Amino acid sequence: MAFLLSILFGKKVWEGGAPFTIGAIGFSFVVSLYLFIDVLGQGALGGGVQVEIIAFEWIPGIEIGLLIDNLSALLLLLVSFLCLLIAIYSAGYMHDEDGKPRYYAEIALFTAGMLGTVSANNFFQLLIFWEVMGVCSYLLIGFWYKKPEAASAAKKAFLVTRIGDILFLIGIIVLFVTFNTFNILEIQESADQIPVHLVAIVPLLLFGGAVGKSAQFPLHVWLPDAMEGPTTVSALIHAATMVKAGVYLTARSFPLIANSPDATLVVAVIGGFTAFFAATMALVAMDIKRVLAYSTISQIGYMMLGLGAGAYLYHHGHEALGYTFAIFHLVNHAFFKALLFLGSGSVIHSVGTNDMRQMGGLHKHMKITSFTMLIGALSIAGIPPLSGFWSKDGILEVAFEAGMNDPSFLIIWILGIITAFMTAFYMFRLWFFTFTGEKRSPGEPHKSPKSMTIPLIILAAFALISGILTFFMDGFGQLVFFEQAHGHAVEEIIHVFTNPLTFLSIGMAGLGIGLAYLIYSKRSISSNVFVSSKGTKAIHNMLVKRYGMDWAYRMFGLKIAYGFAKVADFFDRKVIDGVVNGTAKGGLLVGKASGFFDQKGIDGAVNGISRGIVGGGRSLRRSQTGNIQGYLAAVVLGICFVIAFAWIYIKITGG
Amino acid sequence: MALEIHLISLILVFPIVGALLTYILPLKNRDTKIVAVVMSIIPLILSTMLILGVLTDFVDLTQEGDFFAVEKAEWIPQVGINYHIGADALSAVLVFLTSLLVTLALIHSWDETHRHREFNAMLLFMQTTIIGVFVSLDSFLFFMFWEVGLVPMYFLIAIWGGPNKKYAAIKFFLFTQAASILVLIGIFAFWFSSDPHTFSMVAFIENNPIGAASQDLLFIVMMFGFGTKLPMVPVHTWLPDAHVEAPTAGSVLLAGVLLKMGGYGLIRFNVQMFDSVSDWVWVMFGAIGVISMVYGAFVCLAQDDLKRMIAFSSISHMGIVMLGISTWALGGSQIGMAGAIFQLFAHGLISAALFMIAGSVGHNLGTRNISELGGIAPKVPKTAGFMMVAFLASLGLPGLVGFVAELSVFVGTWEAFGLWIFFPIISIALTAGYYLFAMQRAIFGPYNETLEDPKDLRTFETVPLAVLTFTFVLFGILPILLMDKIFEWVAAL
Repeated sequence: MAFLLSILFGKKVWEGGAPFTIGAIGFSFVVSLYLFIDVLGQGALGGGVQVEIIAFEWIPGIEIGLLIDNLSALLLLLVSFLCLLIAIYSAGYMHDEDGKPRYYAEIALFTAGMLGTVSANNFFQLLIFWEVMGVCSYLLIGFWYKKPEAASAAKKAFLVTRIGDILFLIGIIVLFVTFNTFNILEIQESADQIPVHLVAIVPLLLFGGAVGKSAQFPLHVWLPDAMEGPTTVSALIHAATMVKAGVYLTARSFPLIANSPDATLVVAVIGGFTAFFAATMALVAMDIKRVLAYSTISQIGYMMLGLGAGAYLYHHGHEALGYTFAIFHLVNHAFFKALLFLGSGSVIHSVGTNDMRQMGGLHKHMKITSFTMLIGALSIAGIPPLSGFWSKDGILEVAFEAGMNDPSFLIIWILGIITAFMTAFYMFRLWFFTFTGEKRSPGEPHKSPKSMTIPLIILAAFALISGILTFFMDGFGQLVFFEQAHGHAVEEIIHVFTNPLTFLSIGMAGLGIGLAYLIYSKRSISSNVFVSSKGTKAIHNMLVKRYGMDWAYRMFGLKIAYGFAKVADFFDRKVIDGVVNGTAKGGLLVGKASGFFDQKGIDGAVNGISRGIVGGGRSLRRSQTGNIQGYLAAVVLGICFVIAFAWIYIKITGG
Repeated sequence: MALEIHLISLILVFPIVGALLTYILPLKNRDTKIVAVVMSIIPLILSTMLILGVLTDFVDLTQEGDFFAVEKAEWIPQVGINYHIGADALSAVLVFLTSLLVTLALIHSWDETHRHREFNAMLLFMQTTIIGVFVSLDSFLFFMFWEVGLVPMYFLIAIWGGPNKKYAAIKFFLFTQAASILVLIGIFAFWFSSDPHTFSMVAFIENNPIGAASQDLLFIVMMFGFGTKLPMVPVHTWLPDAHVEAPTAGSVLLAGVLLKMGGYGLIRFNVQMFDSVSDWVWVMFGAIGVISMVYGAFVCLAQDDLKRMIAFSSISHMGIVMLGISTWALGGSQIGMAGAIFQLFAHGLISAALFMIAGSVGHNLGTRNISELGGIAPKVPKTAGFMMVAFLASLGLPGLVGFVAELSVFVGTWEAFGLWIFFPIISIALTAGYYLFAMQRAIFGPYNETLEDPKDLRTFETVPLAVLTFTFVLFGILPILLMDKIFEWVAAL
């Protein structure tokens, strides 16, 4: 299976325009589809398929190759499919933009990076493609680089994720030194042989990379700003694919995490807290894309929570259900979040603003967008039988189960339940704000072209049925699992609907939708109550200011790092160079005494004294030009001196 | 059949003949340039043969001990000075780098018209001296090339430099001269202690004649000698001034290969010859490397002049070399040492591209100050594109050449020092910070309308940058091309 192609073809379209990119990604989709079916055909359902292809040696001891198993086959399919849809959508959305070849080249390179990431057979190669994605993300966020906000957001995204990448880098270095390999399978197999003092550090270092890439607390600050890029980019990179790479990485290091209960707890706490934390900020955001960005952060938090809780249970001898549900949620989320982003892109394209306060009443103007987004919102809110319900509910159940063993997980579970409520609320706030009520936008909203609505419909179909679809494969647990397959379709459905927890989370979602309806559609509760009443005003302000974290980061960068740099620069120019110039001046005085320099040189030196340390350089320049002969004489004498010195030195120390 | 054509001697002779030809022949600028480029391409081809011969079997070279293509003739037999040259993996890589960069620098400075004959002659002359340093197996010969190499660089700065060129040139000369004296002390100490007296580096490598008691002190003396050239903090301040004032071609060779002489010296002398140095000395050695890395990166953040920023980034990146060497000395990490050597090569390529870009920006846009640029990307897309590639390569983007070296050295750092890795790794974050900060201000954002008539890269500027970009990718994806033999070389230490 020479599927190296499926990574490399993306780069071939460097110069190409839209058709070329779409064609290339389409090709990759076909390859991935074939691969996926091939993996299924080899008995992936209920059993595992693992194929490794070694391509070549990179530096001695490091081999580059591909790893195709259930997980990577599924993600290859998902990524190439979404990239294809969004590339098609872009044909409509980016129609009037300059720099389209650049855009499509970067999208193609990104696709290659993402496919390479999920098919790498070793952590090292994963890191390379991981960074390729990072660069594409940087370039695409800054696509409208004339806008200072875009240039700044791009820098912020790269730098913040870079902090995570450094931890990741250290992590794989430690792995390499410990196991003498980067190979994922080999490391997974020998995961339990890791030395005790590294058992918690290594998975957490890797997780650090995931935190940066997947915008988890405390490195989440870049993602909302990344919305400065084109909406297609937000949909593809900052919702559906790249930000999931962190989840993928965490899943790949699952056995390492499961080794250490401390690490599982950290992963789950970061995930659960991020889910909650980001959802609170989504409650008050007014920019339609930022609401979705916070929502993405929050949903990825769920996935991390699933992985952490799953690893905890696995450590204590249970099935690794959390792993399955986290990946399941990843797939579902990719569909409905891409749908929501593309829908909002369609709205922005038509209204010409991101601000929800200037939208409203758009339902009758753009019915397809409105309906598809409604499906997306219902799905993310967790209303059965839409896709989001199955996976989110699974994750919460795993967290609850872990909570039965360790009360810390119970707290996380409660956060998760509250988040489910908030998710439903903010998502329907968005929908009601945009599509119902009076029209607030100036000008006539126009319909979106077919190339934009057809991908919306396809995505909506998946958001609708991707949950149910898996039951035809005997449940998602048969497709992606860690070590052993879980459950069968029928048992699973029965289990879900006999579990009281299921109804709690559906109830929370319903409550959220209802509240949003009352406030933003019927307007029987004024949202101003929350904004202006004394008790909640402070909270509202805090949320609007994003808990002050962006401010804190900026201050750190600007005042501390840049301030320190200024001090270092000053030190370099004045102190070190001051010593240098001072020494040179001293040398000139000695020169004067020994008569090496002619009258001009003496003058220069004498003038130099009065000029202080900085001026010293200038006087040095004046006095020394034209005195090379004298200088050379000094050199010759110096060399004689050196030889003599070396001789005496050796004699004394007895060499 | 082994090649018996005095390969290395030819590599040394062609540039110097080229220098004489360009200087003597009364040709126009363009014709002089053609002569110069041709006379640099011949040694480039020969250097390619040399590196192929040392690293692969494609070219068959004679081998004598650890060295290939060795030539030896008596020069001043009374004191044991020989014309003794040869190459191993370490030197072959650097010889190739030098030849490549000289050719590219000559092409990049196609429109230098001020005293063009001398200009080209100086560049070619410098090539001979630098390569001479890398291939000498006799320490006197080594020192001679080392010293003479200062002269063309001094004149390049002093004649073709910027407004403050005299100061920078003198500072460069004095600093490196002081360093040379330290190196000379070391070499003479070796000579006096050896019995019978010899300057042969091969002999010194096999058996260090210096007694264990005085090795520490002599090591430190030579460390400062070579370290000034590298340069390491705190003896680095000549470099920013030299770079800011030097013409582009001078900067390219200064950062690309002159600094490598320092690294080469450290590895050839301090690593290969000294065998019983105290641990505390090596700890100091590594600590200076880390300080250079972090301190250099911090200073970069505050720079406004692109060239000055890149100069400090060189200091930061050369710190990696010292760190890599110390991981080998203290923790026995072979990959760390291999990374240090690879970094010499990688940084040579990257810094050359960085200075070409900075030079072209200054030349074509009228200023190199980041604060006076802004939003230039749409006006000069090629400049912006190459700048971005070079910056990304320099900040250690995986897949490009700089990352290979950094990764190897950090693996070594973990092997040798464990959690201390968090200190040097700060510089990685800072490096990304200052490059992205610079790009945001210089090439993105709204266009700065005060810039008059911006010009994009011309062909003779684009070609060398394209070649360098190709090497970034080639050696970033296939570092094994060099690393295989470098690993073997390190293993044999």
